[in-house]
Amino acid sequence: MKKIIKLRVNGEDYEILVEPYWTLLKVLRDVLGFTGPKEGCGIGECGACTVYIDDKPVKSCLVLGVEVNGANITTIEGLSQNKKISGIQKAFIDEGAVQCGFCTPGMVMAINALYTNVSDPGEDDIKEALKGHLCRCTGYETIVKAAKRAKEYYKR
Amino acid sequence: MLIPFEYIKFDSIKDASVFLKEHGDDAHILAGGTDVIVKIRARKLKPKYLVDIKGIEGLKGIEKDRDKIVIGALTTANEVAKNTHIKEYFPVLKDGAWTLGDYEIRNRATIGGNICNGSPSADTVIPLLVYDAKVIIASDEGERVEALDKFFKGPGKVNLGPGEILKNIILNIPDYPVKGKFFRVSRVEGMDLASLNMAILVANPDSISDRKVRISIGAVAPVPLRVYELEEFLSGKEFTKEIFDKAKEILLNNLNPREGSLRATPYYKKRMAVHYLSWLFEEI
Repeated sequence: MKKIIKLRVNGEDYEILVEPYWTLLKVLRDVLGFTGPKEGCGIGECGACTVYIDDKPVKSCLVLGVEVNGANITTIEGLSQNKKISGIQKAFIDEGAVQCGFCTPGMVMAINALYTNVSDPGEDDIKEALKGHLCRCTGYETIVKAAKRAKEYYKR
Repeated sequence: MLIPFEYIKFDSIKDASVFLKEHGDDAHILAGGTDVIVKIRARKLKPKYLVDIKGIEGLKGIEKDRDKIVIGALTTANEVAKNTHIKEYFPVLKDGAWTLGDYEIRNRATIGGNICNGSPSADTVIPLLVYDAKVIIASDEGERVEALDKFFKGPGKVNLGPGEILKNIILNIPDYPVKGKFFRVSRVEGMDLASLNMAILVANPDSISDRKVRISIGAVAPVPLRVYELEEFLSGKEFTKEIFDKAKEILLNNLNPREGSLRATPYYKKRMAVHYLSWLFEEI
């Protein structure tokens, strides 16, 4: 039976009807049209679906839409402001840390969350933050470089 | 795509427990969901009802109660790993919790879920065992306390009766010096389940006669394993080469890793367990 949930996504409030077995990822993509988060594995291993629930990064393929009733969600679309991309995104572009681009939204969300928690992350912190993020173009080196470079652009 | 189920959320143990009893195997508890949703997707679990317990008061957070630490079953792995009491008194648990999944998984995965999932290599369970953790299990009929070591019945099977919910984990703060370590090996450095994990705790490490050793190992038996025979042998002993040789023998006799594991061969697991045991003889 469908349930009504209220949630805030990237600062906008929504009230929608969802099936209990729809994941948050499905709700964001197919109901609300936020196609930034991607479905890669669907079992929490690839990280492409990473979004924030109340500012904490989670794998949205392992969360049900009904579980986030009343929550504040941020997707990759919410990182840019006034059509300007965030510093983390700029660092990814500068370092060419994007190949096919499928994993990029999750990678950016993970690194952005890292910078909100750790002011001066080292390589180990970056690798720990990217532990559950797979890039099948195997471009990890540029991604780690971008994560380091983001230090120059990141504004709290 | 997940197969259809109904979702119901409760705000009291009593109501959740009554519902769980009424619906038996048709109902399954949902906490962080990081195991349950994966199992539903793989069709290994086909619940008619998912019973969300995250609305129940008193199941979240970590409290110090005189000489005890009480961990709510819904406390996430990241909350456990970052908690000041856990860091101060139970560093082996901090390390175990921090290796579970990845950062995003740990923001959802709960310590109670990690226990009740019943995995023989659960990364919070292996450390909890060497701290002699107890669990409080609640239902509409009341509460019972059980040693965590008695809670596991087999892979994926735990000692929860109809309508029972894991409520708290209780740890006694050691009033003696301890030294301990969490060990873990997996196939890749990225997110992966443990091929083997192990915790060693030594009470009174600097006094040979008062020494007590506790050892637990994951992924070497159908349940997370406390190696009592080895603990008894090592307690009160000087850690010499001769003792190590005998300890190795006792350790290997107690391990029974299954053939056909996706993650490591029995031979590899046994070699790693012996390697980690050597920490006692090199560092204490």
